[in-house]
Amino acid sequence: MNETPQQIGALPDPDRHPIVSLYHVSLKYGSRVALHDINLFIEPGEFVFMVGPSGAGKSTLMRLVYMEEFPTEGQVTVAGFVSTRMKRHRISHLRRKVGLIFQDFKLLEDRDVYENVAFPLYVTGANQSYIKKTVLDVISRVGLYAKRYSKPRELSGGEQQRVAIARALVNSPHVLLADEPTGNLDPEVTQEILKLLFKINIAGTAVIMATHDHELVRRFGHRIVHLEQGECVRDEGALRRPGRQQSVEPEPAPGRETGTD
Amino acid sequence: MFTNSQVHYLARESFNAFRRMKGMAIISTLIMSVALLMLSLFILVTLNLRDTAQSLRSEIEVNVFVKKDAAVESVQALRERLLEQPGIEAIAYVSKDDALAEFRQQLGPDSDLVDVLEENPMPASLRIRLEEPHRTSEKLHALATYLRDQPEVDEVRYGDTWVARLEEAIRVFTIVDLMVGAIVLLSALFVVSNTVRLTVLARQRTIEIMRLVGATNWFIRMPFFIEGAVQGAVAGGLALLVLWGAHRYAAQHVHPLRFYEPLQIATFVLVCAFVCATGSLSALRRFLRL
Repeated sequence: MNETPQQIGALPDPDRHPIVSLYHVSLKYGSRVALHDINLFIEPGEFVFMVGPSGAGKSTLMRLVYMEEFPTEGQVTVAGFVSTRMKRHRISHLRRKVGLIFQDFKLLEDRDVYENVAFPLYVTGANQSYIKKTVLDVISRVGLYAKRYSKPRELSGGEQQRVAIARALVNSPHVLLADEPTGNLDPEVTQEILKLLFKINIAGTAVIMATHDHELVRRFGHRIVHLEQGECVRDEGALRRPGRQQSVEPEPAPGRETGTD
Repeated sequence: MFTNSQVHYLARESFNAFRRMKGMAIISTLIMSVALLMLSLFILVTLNLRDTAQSLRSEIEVNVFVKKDAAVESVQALRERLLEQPGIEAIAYVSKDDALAEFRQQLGPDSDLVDVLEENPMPASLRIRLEEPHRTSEKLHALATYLRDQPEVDEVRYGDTWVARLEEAIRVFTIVDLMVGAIVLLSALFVVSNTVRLTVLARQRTIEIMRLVGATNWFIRMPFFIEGAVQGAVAGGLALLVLWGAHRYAAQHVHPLRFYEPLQIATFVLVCAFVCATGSLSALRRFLRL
């Protein structure tokens, strides 16, 4: 393998602003450290897997990105929103730029596919004709046009997750956060969902997907960030991306060095 | 604050909530209306008892019997003096003849007792009605003392033991009423706030998803506010409707009682709506992290 030493959380290309950046981020609950000194920069259109055993802090890191939680130290910046300067009422504006997918889908059981996907647009006050056009378009993209009037309980797990993905896409987010999106799905359906996420990524949306299953994701050649016990222990593939500077820029804070890949 | 489509959505959402969770909405509204029925029943009973107390107290009057030899002029002069006293509402002069006529009437048309009398035995008197705040035993006593010092006055009667007992009864009633009222009010609030909290809990998931897809807190609150207000108004109205039915029955078969006036009904329903609406907002606070 490549013997080049890697710096965890390499600084971004100066010409491109990262869509998500975590700068020396720590999160403590009382004395318990949930995340420790995380440096992570994700560029627009990037696809990043975040792997690690359960309890490593993947979901917590996700929550920092959609600002359900705020770091006790350091700073999180997402699509121009800065955690240290964030006002409560602005969180809803951030959420409209970030698509979210969860292991348990989080669909509204009493509404059909169309209504579920349209939900974020109702909430943000788009006009009716725009809603209809966009929702049907997104539902087609995830391949559920024929089932647009089905209720979630009439759908399989994979289909439900596709509804959730459609809902996450309907606001044309800059970044899609997927927290164990395939955790409840069988391997075949998992592949389908991954393919769909890749397709979305190719269309230009940055995707961060958390999973505990390293085997599942290692063969795709995408960037893989390893989390263990709240620390970022390895960042595979970050420096190999084309157009990246190979030099390690001097940083006042100690860059964490790891062994070879 | 909201765009057209948001307003459209909110209106639809608020009233669809009843449709979506019909059972839940009906049951919680019924529970609330039972609690509110207790409260409105209590208030109505209190109002009626107060009416009764009021009418009993309005019967309080002071009878001043004048001496037999007192001249009509001096009695008139006494009346004039009394009218200058504070708290006097009206003074009626009852002459000897008037008193006899009244007595005759009380005996009934068949009695010829009055006819055998050779001389009118009834004394002339002044009947004093007092203004509402002066109908207390203390003030009555003071007035009676003053009257007894007047030269024209033979006797003063105002039913002092009766007035004292009435006052004691009203005092005890007020204390008991306030205590029971506090309990009824607190339990009604408890039931309503818990019922409202249940309806909010039942939609925890919707709230969570709304937060995740970027709904503003106000947008999340709105349907709960509207729903709470509607539910409170319906529950309050239902309670009053049941109470009105019971009242009509009681008024026909037992005793004429008064019911709430339109303004009181409107106030009650509005207060119910307001309490439920603010209750559901405060139940939401937990989920919105405010």
